[in-house]
Amino acid sequence: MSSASTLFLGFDPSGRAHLISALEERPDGALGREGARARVMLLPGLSRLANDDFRGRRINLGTLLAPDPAPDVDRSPVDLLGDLGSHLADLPELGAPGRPQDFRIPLNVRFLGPVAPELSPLIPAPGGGFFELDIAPVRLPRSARGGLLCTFADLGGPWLTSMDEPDSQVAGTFALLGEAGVAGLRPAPNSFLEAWVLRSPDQGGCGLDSAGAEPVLAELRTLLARLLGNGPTDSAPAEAPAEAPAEAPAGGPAEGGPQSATARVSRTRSREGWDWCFERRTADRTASLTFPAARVTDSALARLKRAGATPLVPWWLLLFEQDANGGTQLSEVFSARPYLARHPELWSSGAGTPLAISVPPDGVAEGVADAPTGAEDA
Amino acid sequence: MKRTLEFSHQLPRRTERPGVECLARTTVRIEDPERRLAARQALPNLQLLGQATEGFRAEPFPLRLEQLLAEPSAEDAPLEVSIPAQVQSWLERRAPVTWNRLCSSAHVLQRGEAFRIARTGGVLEIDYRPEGASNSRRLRCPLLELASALSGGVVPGLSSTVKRKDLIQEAELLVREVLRSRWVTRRLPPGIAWGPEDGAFYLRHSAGVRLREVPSERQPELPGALLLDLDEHVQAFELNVDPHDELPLDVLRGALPWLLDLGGDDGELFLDPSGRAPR
Repeated sequence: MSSASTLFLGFDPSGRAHLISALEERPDGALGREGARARVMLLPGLSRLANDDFRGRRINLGTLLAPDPAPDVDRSPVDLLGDLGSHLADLPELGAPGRPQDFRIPLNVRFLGPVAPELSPLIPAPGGGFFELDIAPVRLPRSARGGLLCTFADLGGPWLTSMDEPDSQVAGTFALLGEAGVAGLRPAPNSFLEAWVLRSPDQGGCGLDSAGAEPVLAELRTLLARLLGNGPTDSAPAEAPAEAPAEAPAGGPAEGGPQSATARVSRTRSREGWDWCFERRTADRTASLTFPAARVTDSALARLKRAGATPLVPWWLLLFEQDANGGTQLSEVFSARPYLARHPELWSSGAGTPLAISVPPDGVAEGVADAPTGAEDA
Repeated sequence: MKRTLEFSHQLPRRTERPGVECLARTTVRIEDPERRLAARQALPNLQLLGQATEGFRAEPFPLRLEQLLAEPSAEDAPLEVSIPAQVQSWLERRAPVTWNRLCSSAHVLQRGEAFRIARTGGVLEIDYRPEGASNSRRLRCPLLELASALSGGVVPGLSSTVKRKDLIQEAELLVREVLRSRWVTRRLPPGIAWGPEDGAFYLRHSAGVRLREVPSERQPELPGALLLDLDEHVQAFELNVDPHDELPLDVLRGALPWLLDLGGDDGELFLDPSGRAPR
């Protein structure tokens, strides 16, 4: 019997494809530990992958994609998928009747991202046949928005991309997490804080030059990181004024002299999420910036921080959900691979409307503890 | 009366008993069509076949053989020995007295259809023995010859033209693993990569050697040749596997990994037409 393989691809901000996971579904119940349709997960970046490959051979996606991941970064998606497919799918038996060029080897490709990659549905396979790609997105439940976080430094540093159509609350949260350096993220190249600090005062900015901006930016980011993981998130009333602002005297080194400046970061709960307010007050004027972002639950933030310290488990799924008031909230952070294996309704083709996700209460703790044993049955 | 000494597929066993070279599992079948008599084993007292013990017993050779050869009366046909190829090969090498006695006084016939693949002093021999035949037919298979050369660490045609030893080693590894994955496992091992854009296999850690398959003209569903591209040199390996040949694909699949793993040693393998050990 043949087995169906599903490859999960994520796309980094520059549009390059990365393999997140590969799942193999086997119809032979005799060999799967959990009976029929056992799933073998093949994980990139780990040394040991399939526990019980049914030919008794171990497939090591770590060496498949590495040892040095750099060469893979520049491979075209066609090249990468064809190569992966010839390791994950059964190739046609030699001498089987029929012309080799008519052989089709099904390969499911599920991508986590807002746009479908432009791929030819047929990729040459060894022996003259073709891999026939079934390309579809991973569909999150209708009420959820998602993001994908890579924390694996070798893949070009931590980065975060949206999985859906851009939502201002979600995009704002990504930018904010980058500014705060959560999970080792770095500010985006077009950092909104930096832009504001450098902008001229008549356009609402602080009007600093790049040398003067540096300590101010560092100060603001420290305050932001402190406030982001601080205090209740849901107990504050909807119309509450600034809660627990973080404040610090910020020197104005460019100006010099006795003149002093104060930086202040606060947040207000808005209807949709949070409005973050950044302020820089000098003796003669105050510059401020309001930045909207989704709310972030303490638990999700704690998980994000742990994710950043877990280099062996590089892929994380961030789930933003609509709360009862119509607001957006980053509520769950999962290790993507076990989550995808557990929820085939998100990616199997032919399924109807995606079901609401039932989130296991310990889902993320399990993800963090995702030991590199390599395989997990769904 | 026709008497047949039939050997089990199980290999005989050496023994130190005086006058006994080995113990072999055999059964004796006696058929007398005129008297409608058929029996197994229980010489000299014939039993009806249905009552006789079925199956094989370990018998001491050549004592048992001498007893059998001494018993027949004048009208009996010569003793027929039905013997699997692997047992025959074992007796030839390890029980020469018994084997010579068998050959000189009995009619030795092949039991079961078998293929013998042997590597002796680096030379590959493939023999086919049909059921009941008294001798074997030599077959040729370029694919297995290539595998045999690879197992000895040799890539045919390269040593004279390519100077770089590391490239030759890489070529050997690449050809060996591509043969194995295309014919046997049907999946590539991690160290071998597939480039769909130029249709070539290569080693993941080095792009110096590339290997392409060329379909066979006579049998388009099979590769007819491999083209190895290294160091501005292209070496072709003819495979020419013909499924209508006497060597079935299943036998080829069974013999290929065995040959590749032989590591340059000598050895002998017996397979039935389905590619399994004869049973």
